[in-house]
Amino acid sequence: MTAADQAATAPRGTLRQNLLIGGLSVLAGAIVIPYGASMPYIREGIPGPGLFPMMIGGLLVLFGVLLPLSTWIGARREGHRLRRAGVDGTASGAEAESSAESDAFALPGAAVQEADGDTPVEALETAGVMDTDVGSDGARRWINGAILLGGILAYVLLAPVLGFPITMALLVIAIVRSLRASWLAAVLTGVLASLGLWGLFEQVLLVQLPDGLIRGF
Amino acid sequence: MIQDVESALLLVADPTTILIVVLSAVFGLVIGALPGMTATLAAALLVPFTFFLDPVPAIAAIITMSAMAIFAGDIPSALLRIPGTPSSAAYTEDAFALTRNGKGTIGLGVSLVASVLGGLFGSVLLIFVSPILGEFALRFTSYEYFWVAVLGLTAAVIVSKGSQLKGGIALMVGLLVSTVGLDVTLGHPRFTFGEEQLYRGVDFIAAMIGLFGLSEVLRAVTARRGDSMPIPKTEGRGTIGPTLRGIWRNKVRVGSGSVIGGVVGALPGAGADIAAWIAYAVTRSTSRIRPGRGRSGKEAADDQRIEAISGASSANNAGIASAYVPTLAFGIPGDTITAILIGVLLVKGITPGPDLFLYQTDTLYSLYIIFIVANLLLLPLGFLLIRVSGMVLRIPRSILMGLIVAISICGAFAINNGYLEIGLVVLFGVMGYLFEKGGIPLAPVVLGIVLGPIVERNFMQSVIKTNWDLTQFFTRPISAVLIVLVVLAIASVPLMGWLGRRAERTVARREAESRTPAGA
Repeated sequence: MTAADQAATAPRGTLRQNLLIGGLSVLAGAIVIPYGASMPYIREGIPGPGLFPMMIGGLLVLFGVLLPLSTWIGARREGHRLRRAGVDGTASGAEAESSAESDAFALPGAAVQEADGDTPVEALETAGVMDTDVGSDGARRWINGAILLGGILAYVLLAPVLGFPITMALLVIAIVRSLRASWLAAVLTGVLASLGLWGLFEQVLLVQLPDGLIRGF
Repeated sequence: MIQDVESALLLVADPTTILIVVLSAVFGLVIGALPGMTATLAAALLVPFTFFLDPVPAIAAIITMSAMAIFAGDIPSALLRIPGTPSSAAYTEDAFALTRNGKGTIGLGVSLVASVLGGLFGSVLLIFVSPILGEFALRFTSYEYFWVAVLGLTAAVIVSKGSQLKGGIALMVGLLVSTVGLDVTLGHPRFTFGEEQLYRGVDFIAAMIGLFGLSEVLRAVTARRGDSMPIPKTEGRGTIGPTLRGIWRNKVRVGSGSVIGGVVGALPGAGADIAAWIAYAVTRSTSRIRPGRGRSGKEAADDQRIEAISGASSANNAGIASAYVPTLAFGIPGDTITAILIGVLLVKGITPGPDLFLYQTDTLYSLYIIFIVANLLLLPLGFLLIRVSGMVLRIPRSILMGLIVAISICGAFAINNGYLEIGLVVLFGVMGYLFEKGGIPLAPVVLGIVLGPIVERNFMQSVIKTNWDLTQFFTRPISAVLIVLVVLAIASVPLMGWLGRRAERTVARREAESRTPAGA
């Protein structure tokens, strides 16, 4: 793969993504403008409540069109530049990669500042492990997302019946467990979080949380 | 004035306020120290609680938390090579390299003291500059307020990370959200879909909890399986001496970083992240540290890293304080955290802007005192955090996510004792998640929601007052100055890009120069 090819594939994904974002932006604008126009006028020819939504809609359409267009022009210009540089034999793969990801407002300094004699990462003495590994693979990721959003929906439906402490404990247990924590950790977190928040909001902040089953206790 | 300061001191010395300051300090330190958890997320989770507090403790909670979180973000930068908050991203590589070379705690110590000094400088700047601007703002009419808000919106888009066009789309989404509810001219319902509860508009707190709280949980639960991160062993003892020597050697860098942070942070829409990047670039490109005279290549590189951290770390905390300058003087947020604070103040019946300097001076002075106290408190608590950082980083992510969801739901419910707000949290959570996936920045959405009503109200008031004579927007002297600033802000985009590329080339050249003698 040449440097120019590498640079061309990276922006192609960005172009597709920006085309989608731009399309959605134009669609939103196309819905908002007629909605704004349908609102009452202050008097003949003088828009009132609809003026701002119409202006916002217009800018959504404008930005939505400009976004994929500017990405496309940028990618073409980059391709030309790299092809020219390739002919001169001066473009290195690394250069192509960095310029493909370059940003109009990228501030400098992010480059790794390595020095001769730095201790290698492998030689570091460690004192523990951070639990960043809560992710999952394959369909499990989407099941986790569904547990979270479905859990909140279930909370809204069940809290008035079961009451806050039980429903919230169940929701937290489900989320913590879906992130591969042990049952003990999940149940402890669910029960303690639910009771802690119940005490804080009901007793200290005087917010009436749904009682449900436990009404009168 | 002395009377005002006295009553402000009484407000701050209240036991509830002191307790709130300490609790929010610990909260800020823990959240900031966890990778991916931003100070804005911490502010969004705090808001439901501040809802029930008096104005001064509510302000104290947000200010203290943000000062702590910005420093704490340096901890995972140094230990795990992951910035805890975006403000630490500029010098993550340097901080981690120092850890590799056994100087991690010195790097963190320098960062802490530089943060405290930068924060204090920003606070002093806030105390002296905001009244001057506030007095100037007394001459503002609806035309000027319109332009100040437009300036804030323009700046929000310009400093957007990634594409400015995406920033523009994000801003429009925020503005569109701000139009939900009854309009200011005829009281006509807009985007309410027949739901009467939406007549008062989309609740700002629910939107914040969704955009920053729930979206973070959604990201975590749908993340791919990663590798566990080993936490490097660091020696906490004997840090203070080398830290103070490091700060003394780099005092000029701390000074210049504080000034850059103070100025950049005060620009509407800019904030601490941008301040840190600019100060980092300036410090790196003007560094005079070279190997030689008893200094090996490795030592010179480490000294350069400590120098860069001094500059950038002082800048981000100075930026946190100075972001309050436009907030207090004009009611225009300097960054997302001040946008959240404006939302809290409005709920408390306090309108940020010139009135604050005339009628609510005790609250104003309390805010100044809190800034000083929060920055001084950061020093002991920060050193303590460096000592126990390994423990904080081991807090299981799964448990944390469960807690964020629980707090988000309780907070949303508490706004109105209803379920509509929980629905809004979910809606904004999904939106925040999708925006992040598409590389669309969230900060302009927040500023759009906060500034939207200000822009619309002042625009409509102005045009109705003058019977649609639009020339009034351009012919008034202060308006003209503000228009020039808006144009300059837009023109600064290519200029900043050029300056950035130039600084990058200088850094690369200096790096190459400094390596040549070491390798020889």
